[in-house]
Amino acid sequence: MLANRLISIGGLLLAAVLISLGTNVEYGQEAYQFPNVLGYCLVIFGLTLLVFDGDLSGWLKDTGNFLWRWLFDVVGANDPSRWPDVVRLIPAFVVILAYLYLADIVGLYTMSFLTFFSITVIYTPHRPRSKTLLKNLVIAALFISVIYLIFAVMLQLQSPQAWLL
Amino acid sequence: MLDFLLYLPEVFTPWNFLILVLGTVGGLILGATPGLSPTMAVALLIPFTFHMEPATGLILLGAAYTATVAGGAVSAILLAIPGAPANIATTLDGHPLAKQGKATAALHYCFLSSFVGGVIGVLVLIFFTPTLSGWALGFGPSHLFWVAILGVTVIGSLGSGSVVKGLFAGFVGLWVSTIGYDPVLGVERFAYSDHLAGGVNIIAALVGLFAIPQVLSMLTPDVLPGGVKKFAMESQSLLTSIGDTLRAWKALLIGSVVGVFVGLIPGAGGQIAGLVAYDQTKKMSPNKARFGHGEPAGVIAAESANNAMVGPSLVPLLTLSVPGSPTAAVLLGGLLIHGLFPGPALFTEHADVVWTFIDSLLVGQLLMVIFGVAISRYSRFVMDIPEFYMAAAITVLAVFGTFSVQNSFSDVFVMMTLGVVMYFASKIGFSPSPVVLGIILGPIAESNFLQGQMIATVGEGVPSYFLGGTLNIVLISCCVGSIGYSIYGEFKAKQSEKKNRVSAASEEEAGHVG
Repeated sequence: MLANRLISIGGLLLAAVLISLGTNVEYGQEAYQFPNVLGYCLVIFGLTLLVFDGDLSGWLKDTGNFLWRWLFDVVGANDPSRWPDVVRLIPAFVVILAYLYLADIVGLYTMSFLTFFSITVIYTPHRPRSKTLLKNLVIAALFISVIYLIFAVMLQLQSPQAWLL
Repeated sequence: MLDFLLYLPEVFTPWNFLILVLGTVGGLILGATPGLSPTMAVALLIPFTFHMEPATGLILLGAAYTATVAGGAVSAILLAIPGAPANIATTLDGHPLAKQGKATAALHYCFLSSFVGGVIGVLVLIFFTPTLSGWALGFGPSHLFWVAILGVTVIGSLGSGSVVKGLFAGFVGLWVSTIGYDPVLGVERFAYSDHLAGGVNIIAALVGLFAIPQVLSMLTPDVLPGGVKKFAMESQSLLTSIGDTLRAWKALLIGSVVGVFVGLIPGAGGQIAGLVAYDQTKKMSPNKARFGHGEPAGVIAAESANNAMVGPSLVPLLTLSVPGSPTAAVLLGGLLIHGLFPGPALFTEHADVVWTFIDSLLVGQLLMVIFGVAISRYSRFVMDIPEFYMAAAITVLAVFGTFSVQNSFSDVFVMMTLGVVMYFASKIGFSPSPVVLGIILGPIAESNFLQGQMIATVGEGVPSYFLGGTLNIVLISCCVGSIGYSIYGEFKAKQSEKKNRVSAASEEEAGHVG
């Protein structure tokens, strides 16, 4: 299983390198169109390999369980061996960085919604079930609607041009 | 002196009054939420005021300041978690009262005594401020430079756990304020990134330094939520509570007087006011033994003191730019973004704005007690909101608040960077208040320093211009005095800590021998 996972991850990395080489060019971008299409195909093959041969769903589940233990299982028992705050904050930093960098590409309100939802899902002290996920989705949607009403409607805030709202 | 009556009707215009009500209700709810300090609440609201008329914006900030301090008592009483540092003393008797089934009564005492203390505090603000601002008329560039430095040293030394760390943080703030264009030569300084091209925006700094560290702390709680016992609310008539509060008139008086004096001392803050008032009331009470076990006078003294502090903490702020508390330092940022510079000119050129703001504080006290009593029975529901929801909401609000000021993502990046750095700095004992004050007072200090330098080179020379003259010497003495007093206090605290440790060790040893 490990060998299959490593092969599929290696394939994905190779595809990423090829796409990167084909997109970061100064002149003649049209000439790289076809190799880039091939690169994206390689990504799809790599992902398929990872899902079927590499048991991606089981791996994600194991990783999720590990992350949960890593972040929360020892919190609350005043156990001195719990992970330091800096480690526990790594997911928050990743979410916030993605928020700041993607807000003017994807959309300010969309990214705000995703950030709110991600923080509530990652930092809920209980393992998320479909019911709590739905609850968090509804709360995030309601909160961002209020933010939209205040900033876009009342204060006429000009949000940056992006793919989505 | 009676200008405040002239502008009182301005508070009751529909828009201003609506904002005052919203600020009061919102402030009570934010204050009741554990972990949301008044300073952070006011910092988060500043971007909203940017789109309002100056008077309306200041009404919102003033209402939030008053109401969050009073609202902080709710979680102090019901959960034994002070909503703000100013409510620490309230916990001592408020929570035991709740445990005895008198939670509603304790909340009534808290809002009624906050009202009395708050009104006395605002009256002091009304009658002291014009007199002090009259004195400030004689201030030249060298004096204003020293006043700015005094603001940073006072907050840095008195408002921080460690004098050196406080001063270090204050001077880092002053340095941060120099990023961007030089005020005289127009040269761009320290703009290593495009995000820093226009300097550090005050709002980005305020929001980042106060909100983001709190968000990160909320995401790393020490205990799982749900472990705190909450209490059912008994029904108690408001008239009975008013009678009880008035019967404890000594506690009300001590709390209000202590609050006023502590508020007038720059940098002291509500935490000191509440604790000193509690201590003095306990010492003068015939029922000393009941303190700490649910004595209403303890709640009344602490709450009247921390609200009596609010008005006077604005006296040095509005006259000399020296804030009386960290929240007042944030309010200074709110004044500056509306182009209102503290000092004598504030009461002549912007009399309408400043008096409407002060009047709104007075009316806000009445609204605070009305809504506080009405909301208190439902406030326990606010406390059920898990911290991770609060953290997610504050993150999004901080980003929108900062972005909305100049439609700039650079401000958002600066806000987030300052916040994350401040979170780690707070872990090693640094506090955000001196940094913020440094950033706010930096331009005042630098422009007056450069102006003074120009005056001095054609006159008496730089050293004698900045170091000579009675007022300069008084201000420099105040700077040195505040630092010296803090060093002495820190030394004494360390001595008593050492003494306690030695006595605890000897007691333990005696126990073993026994």
